[in-house]
Amino acid sequence: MARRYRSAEVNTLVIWQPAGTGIDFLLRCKMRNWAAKAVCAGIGLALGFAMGCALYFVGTVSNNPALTRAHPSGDGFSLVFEGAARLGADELVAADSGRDDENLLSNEDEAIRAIEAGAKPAGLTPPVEIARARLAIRRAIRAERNHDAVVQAESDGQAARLLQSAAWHDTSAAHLRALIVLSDQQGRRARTPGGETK
Amino acid sequence: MSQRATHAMILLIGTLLGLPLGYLRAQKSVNGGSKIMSQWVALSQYESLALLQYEQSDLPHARQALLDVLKFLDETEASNRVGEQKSIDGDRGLTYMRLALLEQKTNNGDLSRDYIRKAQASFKKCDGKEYSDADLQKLMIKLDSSRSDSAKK
Repeated sequence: MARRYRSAEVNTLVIWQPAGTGIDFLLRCKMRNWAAKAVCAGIGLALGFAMGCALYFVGTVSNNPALTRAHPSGDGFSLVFEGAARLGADELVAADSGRDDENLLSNEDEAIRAIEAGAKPAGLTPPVEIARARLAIRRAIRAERNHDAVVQAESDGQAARLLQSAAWHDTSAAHLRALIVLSDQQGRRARTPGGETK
Repeated sequence: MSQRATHAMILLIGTLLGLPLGYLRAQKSVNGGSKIMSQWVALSQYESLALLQYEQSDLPHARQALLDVLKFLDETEASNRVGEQKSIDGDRGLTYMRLALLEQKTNNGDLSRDYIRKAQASFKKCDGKEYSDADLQKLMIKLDSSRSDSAKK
């Protein structure tokens, strides 16, 4: 049975209560003109506010080098900074999840190229050989898991050559591999609550 | 204008007014966090590569890597990408101290002392505390030996 109320604030309020349920359902609310206008303005403001927040959030996420795929652009330092942020984010994923698929590794490759491209104009000399050698070792680890001895040997050889050009004392691929495995373990421990490895 | 059109117009005006308010509010709350995250990821990556070079390569390459980190920190500040100034100052202090230890090994005493002074200034800017030469040297030896110990294990 629908009941009809009248008050000074609201013109007409139609409420329906299904028999025996005791629950009221608002069927129709015919407000005074000023009240309706105020409600429309309130809804509009809330809608606009939410849209503004969403707009800013989407823009920020898509421009954050650590959150989106690397498409670094701008001056030399922007390339280096965004490349380093992207490389750092990819390394976090590789270390935390042990993920080393081609998609992730080619993202790292792209980030390293951005650092290389921006370094000279920015007057920086980052040790890009080390980043490349680390990438080669990640490829070697994946090749070993896939029983691909040829790719593994090639990647290990590439890493050793890069370490030589970086003037390392120990230029063996095994040495860098041990450092990477250790750094991944330490990173996981540091980022896991309670300090336990996953 | 019909009543429905008036309400639609008010809704639209409300939305248009709310949009910049929401944008500004989000900018205020999200921007700082986003900057800090970018800074943290980029700096930690850049420094970890330089640290590997410092620990594993010969002296000229190690020195070059550390000087490059200082340049990177300066550029980060100059390009207005700093999310957290304290961490920039702290990192600069640590880098100066590593350079000081490196120069000590090659008997460049004056240069080493100059780097220690710069490290002290950076740490003071970072947390307001004055550290003595001995304190900083102890801290660095402890920091770097714990890294190399875990690498040996």
